[in-house]
Amino acid sequence: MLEKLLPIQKNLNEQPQNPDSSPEESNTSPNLLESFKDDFFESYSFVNKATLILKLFILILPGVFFFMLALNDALDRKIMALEDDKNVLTDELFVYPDVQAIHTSVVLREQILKQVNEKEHYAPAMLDSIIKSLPEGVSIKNEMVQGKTASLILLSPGPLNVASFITNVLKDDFAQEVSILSANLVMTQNIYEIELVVRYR
Amino acid sequence: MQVLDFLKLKYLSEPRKALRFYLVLAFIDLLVFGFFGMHLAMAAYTEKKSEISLLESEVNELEKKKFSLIDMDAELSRLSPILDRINIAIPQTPLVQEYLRETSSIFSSYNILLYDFIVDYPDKESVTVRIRLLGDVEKLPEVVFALENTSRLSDILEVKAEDNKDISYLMDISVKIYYLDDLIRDPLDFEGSTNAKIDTEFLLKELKPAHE
Repeated sequence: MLEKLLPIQKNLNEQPQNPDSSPEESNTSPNLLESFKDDFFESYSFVNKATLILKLFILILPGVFFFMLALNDALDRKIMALEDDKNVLTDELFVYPDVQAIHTSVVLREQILKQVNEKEHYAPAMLDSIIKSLPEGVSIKNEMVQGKTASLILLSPGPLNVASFITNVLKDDFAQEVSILSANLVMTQNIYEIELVVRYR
Repeated sequence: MQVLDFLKLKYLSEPRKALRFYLVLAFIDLLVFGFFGMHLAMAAYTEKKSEISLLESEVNELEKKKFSLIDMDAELSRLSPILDRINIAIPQTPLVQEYLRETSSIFSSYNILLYDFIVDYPDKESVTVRIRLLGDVEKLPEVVFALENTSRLSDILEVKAEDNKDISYLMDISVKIYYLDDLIRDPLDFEGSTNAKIDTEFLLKELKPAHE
């Protein structure tokens, strides 16, 4: 029985004599680990793991897909709700059709009112002060009120009357200063023509 | 029988065949759910997300407009007793004829003669009126005061008085009156003074209702 192995033994003895022979052919070692091939598909543990991963992949992918579908559905509902809100709000805004226009117009008018009110309105008070300060015999020939200044040309029978006028004007705290610009005696009428400027605070 | 065996998936008991089967199934799965399913679902999701953010901003804007309109309505309700007076004080058109009518009645009440009424339009918001009067100069302060307090918003620019030897004084008053040509825009056009607030206290103080 063992004799049958002899030719192999013989071959084993002969092989080293052939230097051209390939390494695979020369692999005659009795160690079986040397002849082990690293083929994953032959490994049961790898195949099992790969199959498991594929199964998980096959299950997870539709799961994610259905999750996305549900998410899209939720977003659709949200869009519908927002569109409803938008329509309701738009309808509500039309309840106030002219409010915006009227409000804007009032705001613009208020601005003009404030601008005009910021200006100081002295004219009636200044005119009143001048007319009330005129002593007996003195009359206004010419009068101009602009801003806080009044320019006057008075006709007076004498300089004292004009002095009295100036005193009367200055009694009013409202008046700041009175400047005499000129004083001329009109010989034909025997009357003084006095040009004054009154400045108010 | 072979088909039946195939359907029973008996071959799955052989690990390598099962691996091949699941590989093919995973590929089909990827193609169907991954490419045609999730890819489109993701695209739709992105589109819907942007649509939602757009709608949310529109709804927010509309809500702001609504609250703003409610506030405006409340302000206007407070001003309702003087709204007409505001529009008379600063009308939409110059309405010089109305001003002439009102001032004429003032002058006649003071027994002053209206001599000249010259109108100038220096800009699109105001009219300058030069009023020349003949009468007693002592009444001038009252006349000017009355002109300042007409129903129209008026600004006295200049007052002149000159002794007219023949009759009486020639008084020359320059008044600026205002108007505002604010054509009604789109009622819900919120550009402009959306955030502007009306100083109701100021307006109520300045333009008291006629009965007060």
